[in-house]
Amino acid sequence: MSLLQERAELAGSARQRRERPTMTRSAQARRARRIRHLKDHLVAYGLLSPALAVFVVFFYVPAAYLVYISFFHWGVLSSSTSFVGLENFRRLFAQPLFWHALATSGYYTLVMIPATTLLALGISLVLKEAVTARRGGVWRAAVFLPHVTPVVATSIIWVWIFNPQFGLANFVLEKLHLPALGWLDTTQWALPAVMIDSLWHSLGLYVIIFLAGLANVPRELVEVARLDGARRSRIFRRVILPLLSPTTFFVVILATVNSWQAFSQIYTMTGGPHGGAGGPAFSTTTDALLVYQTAFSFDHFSLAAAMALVLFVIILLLTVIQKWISNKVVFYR
Amino acid sequence: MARIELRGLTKQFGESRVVDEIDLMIDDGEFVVLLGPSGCGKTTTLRMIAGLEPISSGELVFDDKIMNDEPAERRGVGMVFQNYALYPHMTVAANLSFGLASRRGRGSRRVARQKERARVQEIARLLEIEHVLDRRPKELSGGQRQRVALGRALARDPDVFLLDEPLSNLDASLRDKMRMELARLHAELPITTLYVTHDQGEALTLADQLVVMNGGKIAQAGSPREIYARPADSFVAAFLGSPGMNLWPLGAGDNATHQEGLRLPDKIASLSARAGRLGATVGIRPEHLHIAGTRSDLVAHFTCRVQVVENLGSHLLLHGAMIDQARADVVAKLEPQFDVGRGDTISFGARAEHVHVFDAESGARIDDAIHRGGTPLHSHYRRQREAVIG
Ligand SMILES: Nc1ncnc2c1ncn2[C@@H]1O[C@H](COP(=O)(O)OP(=O)(O)OP(=O)(O)O)[C@@H](O)[C@H]1O
Ligand SMILES: [Mg+2]
Repeated sequence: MSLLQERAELAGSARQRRERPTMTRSAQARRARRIRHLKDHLVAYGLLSPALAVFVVFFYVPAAYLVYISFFHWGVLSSSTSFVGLENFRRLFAQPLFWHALATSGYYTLVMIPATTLLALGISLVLKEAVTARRGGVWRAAVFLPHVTPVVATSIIWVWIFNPQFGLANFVLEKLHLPALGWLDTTQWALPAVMIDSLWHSLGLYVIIFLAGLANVPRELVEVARLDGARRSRIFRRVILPLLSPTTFFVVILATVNSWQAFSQIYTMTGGPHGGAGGPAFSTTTDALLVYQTAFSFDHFSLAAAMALVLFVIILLLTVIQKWISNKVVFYR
Repeated sequence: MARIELRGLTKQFGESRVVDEIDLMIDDGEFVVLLGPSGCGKTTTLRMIAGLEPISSGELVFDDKIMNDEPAERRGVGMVFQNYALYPHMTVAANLSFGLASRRGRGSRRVARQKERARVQEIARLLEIEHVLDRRPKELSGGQRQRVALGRALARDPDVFLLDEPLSNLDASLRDKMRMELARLHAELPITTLYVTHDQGEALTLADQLVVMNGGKIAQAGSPREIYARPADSFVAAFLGSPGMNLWPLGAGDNATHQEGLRLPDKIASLSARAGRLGATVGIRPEHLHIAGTRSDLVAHFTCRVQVVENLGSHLLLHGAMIDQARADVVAKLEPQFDVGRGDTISFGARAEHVHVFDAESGARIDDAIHRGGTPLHSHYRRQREAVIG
């Protein structure tokens, strides 16, 4: 409640006290406040309700249902639904492929976070200089463009690029006098190939976020640091980076979540509708992919639900840990 | 310590000349104030001197060294920005020592640190901010931030001290206080100082040399007293003083000596013969208008009808218009006990030396020989350059 309202209320109750001396001032005020509170809340929830309804129906209910079925034996077509307690989780944890998928997801995320953050920061620093140039907008658009392309369509192009016989990737390696790679056909290079596609597709978004962050670093601070005799590297480390830390933190969180959830590009590049996704030899089977396959290929929805729940807990934990770390290193103005 | 010379200093953004061939000489330890209306190029001039803005043409000289291509960090310049630009993520102590640490040479890190700490203490004592050294800028009051910004610029012992409207973000009483502190600081540490402001009070009290700028050019430079007493042109006359000088047109051509309603002695009126096509402008400061008959030496008489009277405590500000000449507005400063109201008619006069005459077209003063652009250097430099370039 605003201060103004409060003051108006006090004035009002003072007037009432004069008229009806039997009623105590504070009781009056409290009742008036409670009624006003109720009205405020009703209006607020009324206005929120359409958006809230969409959220509840399409997000919270399915999410809650997912938690629910992870404790049951449940199928889309089967009529029998039986409570199995923690049975799904027990089977999950006893399953080596699940642990393998977790490790694969971890590997993927651990590479993607620093790669995304550093590359995006680097590109945005270069682009920042270009922003003031005449064609700055063109460069920004060029960097952002991949992000607005459909993942599945462009991933198919990347499959062609990584083709061991006549793909662009090996052509470039050959020109650089480097040995050709098997890429998607090998367990060692399949996941890195997917990483390159993901980086290409997602960098634009992070670059734009960093550019916004850089634009918020006051020009005077950099100028004052120059007058203070600091070299470029020192200005970057001691002035720009600390002021950019909230942006960096946001990018890291976003990259973490997006990496754990990465699915479309992995599915498309390693098999797609022809089957074999997650291969070769499960080398690209991440947690998200395994959830999909368990549910829709192996028709075991409750096991997939349990898996998704574990994935959710992991992402939540990671975010909490990152938040905790960030409180020590991120500077909020 | 440094002596600064600006020789035809120019800044061009695209087609527009924001700073236009400025000539100025600043003595070692001098306190120079740049005063001018918004957008006249004060900040740009300061930024060129600091090395934050490339110089389009002309020369910037510190002592006898041309500094045009010297990078900002090597000019020995300390600058205070209007919004202070303190590093928000550092403590006050770190803000003060950042520049010192940036310039750390070879040698023991520990010794360097100790020296820096001592210097920070010294500066903090000088500016009375010792008790806030551990705080972040966010946790400081406006005045404290101001002091930290000053301290940071001073910590490295600059040769040149540049201040861009350093007091404009403070409230009135704090501004008065900080103005006095700046005067004290400059007395203690006589560093060559360039101070930008559009506050006349600051300009007149702080300046050894006052530089009035208008439209990218120097309108006049000199001591505040000199500029106030003999403004070089009608712009400076109207800009300086609060309120500024009354300016009335003297008709052109045959009418040149005659302003309806204003009676001037022949000696002054005849000056307008020197004026150009559009005739002359007569100027008298509001505080130099006296009630007719109160003194024996008054000339330049006219009668005015009062429209508004403002009581400002220490004096009355009277707004009116000359009778017979409604277009000639009059502002006069009077003793507070003077009893006057709307609609009254009052006859005024002014002493001869307080009547200024300007050319209506160029605005230039025509009642005596003065050098526009102020300092003798200006004309000297002009002559020198003309001798060389032709
Ligand atoms: N980077 C720039 N590009 C183009 N024009 C500029 C640039 N910087 C300043 N100007 C123009 O130069 C003129 C002078 O600017 P400057 O900031 O020096 O004025 P100022 O005297 O400091 O004014 P104020 O009292 O408002 O601070 C203005 O008209 C401004 O629009
Ligand atoms: Mg300015």
